[in-house]
Order: sequence, then C-alpha cells, then structure tokens
Amino acid sequence: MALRDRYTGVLEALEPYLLKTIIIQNNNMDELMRIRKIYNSHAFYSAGTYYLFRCCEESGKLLKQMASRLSDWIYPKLPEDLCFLKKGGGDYLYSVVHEHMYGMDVTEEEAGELMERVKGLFLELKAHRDLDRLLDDAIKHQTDWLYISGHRLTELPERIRELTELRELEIFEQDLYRLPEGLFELSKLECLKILSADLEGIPASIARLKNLKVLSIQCASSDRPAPGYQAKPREEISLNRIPPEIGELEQLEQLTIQYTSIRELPPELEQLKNLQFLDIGMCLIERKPEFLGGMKQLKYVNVSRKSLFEMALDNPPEA
Amino acid sequence: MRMYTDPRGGAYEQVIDLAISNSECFVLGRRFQPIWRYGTGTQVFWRRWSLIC
Repeated sequence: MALRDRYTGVLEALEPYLLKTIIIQNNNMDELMRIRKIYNSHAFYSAGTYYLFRCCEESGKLLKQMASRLSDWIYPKLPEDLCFLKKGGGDYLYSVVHEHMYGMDVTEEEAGELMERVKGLFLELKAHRDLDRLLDDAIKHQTDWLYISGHRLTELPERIRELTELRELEIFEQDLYRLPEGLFELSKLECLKILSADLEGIPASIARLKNLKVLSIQCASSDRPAPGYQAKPREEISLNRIPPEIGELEQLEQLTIQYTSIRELPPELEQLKNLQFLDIGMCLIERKPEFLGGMKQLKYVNVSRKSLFEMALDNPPEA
Repeated sequence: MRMYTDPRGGAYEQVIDLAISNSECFVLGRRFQPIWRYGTGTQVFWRRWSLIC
C-alpha cells in the first residue's frame, strides 16, 4: 500500500471515534499557546492539523493493529505523535517521535509496579542512578536505546554484552578510558557515541559491529566540569590512531572522532562505501589525505586541526 | 516520567490498553512544516522551547 493510502486509511478507520479536529495555522502562535493552555499536552507544539479521538476498546484495538511501537506514529507513514489526554487536561502518555521523547504520567512507585508487569516498558526511575539497577532493568526490558552518564565510571562493566537488543548507545563519562570487549559483542548496534576526557584507543574489535551506521568519539568531554576545568592538550590524549579494521564497517555512514592525537587516517577508510560524513576535527592531522578525494559519496569532510569556532574566527562573514 | 525508549510489540499493546483505560481521548496530528528537518535556527529554537514549556 502506498504511504499516502496508508495514512488516509488510518484516519478513515479511526473516523467513527473522531471527537474534534483542531487546525493551527502557520505563524499563529497565539492560537498555538491557547490550545496548549487548554489541553496542557505535548501533542501541540507547532502549526498543524490535530485529530482528537475517543478512547474506547475498539479505537484502542485499531491503534494496536496499525502500529507495533509508538515510534511508528510518524509522518508520512502514519499520522504522528500519539498522545493520550486525561480528563481535564494533561498527558497520560505522550510521544514526540522526532525528538525520541516518550513518557507517562505515573509516580515513581507506579512506574516500578508497571515495569514489573510489562516487560519492555523501561521508565527512567530515580533508582537508575545506581548503574547496576539501570543495567538490570535495561537487560530485563531488552532496551534498544541507552544513555549512560553521571556514574563516574572508569570502565564499562563487561555485562554490557547482555544488552543484546541495543541499537543505540551513548556513553558520556569523563573518566572512561578503556572500552571492554563485551561492547563489541552488541551485534545489533547501529549507533555508538562515546564522550570522555581521554580514551586509550579504538580496539580492532570495532570491526565486529557490522550494523554500525554512526560512530562518534569525542575526547576532552566532561560530564561534570568543575570551575576552572581544562581539557588536557590533545597531544597528550592517548587515542592516537584509527585501526585499519574500521574499513570492515560496511554500513558506516557517519564517522566522528574529535580532539585526539591522531595524525593520519588509515587508507582502509576508502572501503567505506556508505560513508557520507567524516569529521576527524581538532586532531593533529597536517593535511587532507589524497584518498579522500576518491570517496565521491562523501558529503562532508573535516580533518582540520582547528575547532569550528576557530575556523569561523578565521573566516568572518563579509559585512 | 520519561521512557528510555518506546515499548514495542507486546509491551506496546499493554501500554495502549493502559492508556485507553486511563485517558479520555487520544491525539494524532500532522505538522504543517517539518521544521525539525528543514527549519531555521529560530524555528528549531522555538520548537525546542515549546517542548520544554
């Protein structure tokens, strides 16, 4: 079925439960604010057409037939950002799919009970300040997305390998220095982002992440910068090479490695036929390697030693 | 309370059942401008601000 037909078909199927249609015209911020005030919902954040449907067993059945997760509700495949409104206003459940924002109006205690009952419902509990509890729940609920930060980690626990369904992982831990082998057993991983003050290196095992599309490593990152905090000079950053095995990441589309002591790029990068974005900025590379010129699919390349801010200062816009 | 990720499969179905029984109505929409992809800095700022407020 064509996307347009599917979109229309969904609205037609839900039409018997339609209570109201709200249209907020472009640039009508007053109307947008008025609607937001009435409904107090994440659903209304821009101009658009909004459909309000009655909650009942039948309409719920349709929602279950039409999608298999909240992030399926995205245009043009489907009408977007499914939100459930309580009587009197406010969201019971909201989704803002483009922002990867999902939430429910439940207390900490209710959330804990729900997570016991519903395997696959993974809510951000205060108890997750304890990394062991966070990993326990992440493994139990087979999460496909995880952000780890603020745990003062010097190394990642090996049990990270148990997160077998993980597609996206971001780690922002300034004291993290070594990446465990278990990390490279996450075969479904599509996006890996690591922010740390310094990193020992990129292991050759990176080649095992065959589904990786996005790899981002940013040194000189601090998740708890104290007054006067200063990153160490990049010459002193341990990460000083990109392993040739990087060329085995056939799906890789974006590669970012910033603020390291890397001085040259491995020619194996040329094997990355899907690579479109290459940013090895603020490292110690003297000149752009010639082989990059042969990578016609690249849409963005930065190997400058300077930061974007420094480059902007060098090239001020003409008056 | 935020979710780390959206529930899928059977968990999605259970969450929909819960939401249906705890809500009066549900909303689906179509934005007029896909500003999250093509918006100017001002538009993106406005959108992020409006999500926070």
